[in-house]
Amino acid sequence: MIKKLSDIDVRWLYLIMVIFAIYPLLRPIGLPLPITDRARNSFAAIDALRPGDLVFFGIDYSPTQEAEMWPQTLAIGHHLAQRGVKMVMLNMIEGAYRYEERIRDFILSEYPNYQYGVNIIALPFTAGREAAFNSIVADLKGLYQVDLAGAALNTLPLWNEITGAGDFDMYVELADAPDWWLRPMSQVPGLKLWNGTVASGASTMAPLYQSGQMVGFIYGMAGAAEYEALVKKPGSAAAAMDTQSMGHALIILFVILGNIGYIVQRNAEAKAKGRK
Amino acid sequence: MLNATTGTWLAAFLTLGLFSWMYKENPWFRLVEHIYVGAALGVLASQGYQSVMDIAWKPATQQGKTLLYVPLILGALLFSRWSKKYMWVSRSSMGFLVGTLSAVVMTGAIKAQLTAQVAATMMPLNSANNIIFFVITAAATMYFVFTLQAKWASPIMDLGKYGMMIAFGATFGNTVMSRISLFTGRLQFLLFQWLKLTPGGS
Repeated sequence: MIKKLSDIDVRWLYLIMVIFAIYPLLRPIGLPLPITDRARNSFAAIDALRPGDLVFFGIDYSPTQEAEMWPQTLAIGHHLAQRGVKMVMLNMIEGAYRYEERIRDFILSEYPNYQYGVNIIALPFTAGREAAFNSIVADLKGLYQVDLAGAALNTLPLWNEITGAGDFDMYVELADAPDWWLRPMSQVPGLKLWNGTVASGASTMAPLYQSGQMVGFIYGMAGAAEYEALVKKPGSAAAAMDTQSMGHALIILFVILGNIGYIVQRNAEAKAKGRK
Repeated sequence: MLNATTGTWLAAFLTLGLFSWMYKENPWFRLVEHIYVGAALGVLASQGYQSVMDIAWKPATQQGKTLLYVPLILGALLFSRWSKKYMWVSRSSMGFLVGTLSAVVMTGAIKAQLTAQVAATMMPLNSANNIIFFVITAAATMYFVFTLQAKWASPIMDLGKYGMMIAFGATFGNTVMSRISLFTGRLQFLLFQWLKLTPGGS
């Protein structure tokens, strides 16, 4: 039996995984989604912003991370807009501008109090990542001349109000790469840092939240689902949580079976050697 | 520009092409793989070009910021790597890049990832959580003191090793979570946007 399981064609495992993933999407089970203290504290940090506060909103992920990061972007975009803060969006990753455009257009269409150039601006892609963030810290106005659409920034009232990175109250970074944005941005005095990232980046970023260097931190589709629940805007992440749970349960089962198979086989080989 | 329906069908074709690898390696998967790499590089090149134009070329040529010619020339020299004869010309640019990046990273890393992290481990030992945190941090640090061969240190080093293994396990779990999320995202696209099914099966 164990030998048969060890020799199973991996495609059967893929097929089982596909079934386990599709079924809860089509027939939601409604497994409970507990909201962690970390998500509540992260929500509270943004909730503490006052209308008119100035917030950097960094959108730094590529299309490969869309499934985890776009639901986070939507949920946090909702929350920032509900708080009525002034937003300056930016992106430092090739391809992320699409999501910056989408969330800018979404906020402008959903929240009539937002007017482009008055309380929301989208900055263009800038190459250099960490070096570019250092330029933001040193000379924000010198780095950017035009916005995401190519319009001159000095024609936008919000841009003319800003003198530099020190004017901002919070930096909300949604990134699929871990910490290259944090090193430069943590040098801005008084700037609170908030991060949403992919689940695979969580172990890198968690210590930075636990040490108090960031005021907010969520990760993965689970983090997005928690945030959707907190802002009361259920979306694609909440809908996918049954699949996540079922998928994880299946992987755990595979890991347990794999380990049992390994131990049984090892013991059998040891016994066979002993007989010789 | 593609209309929405054509775009959805094309995305479904590409997604299924990638999924077809689960059955076996095949020409459909290969085609999609090459399109993916090509498209990603295309976006990277166009974005990089636009960025150089916006932050260096236009300010240098139109606003008289002549100092910006320095990075432009250094950047242009990097292309000499395509020539075996003139490859050496790119070394100064490469050296400048490495030096600048090291300086940029080091200045930020000392505060954000060294002093702040060390300070965070200095905590009152008044809860089980804090005690575990302190003990595992000390034990894991001790594991990397390679010159210490004392017998008494061995169990502490083992504890550090097990602490790290738990951390690696958590990292693996998070990576699995990421991959399942990506898979779920594509399934949501195929089921709800392409096939236009609805949750509940109606």
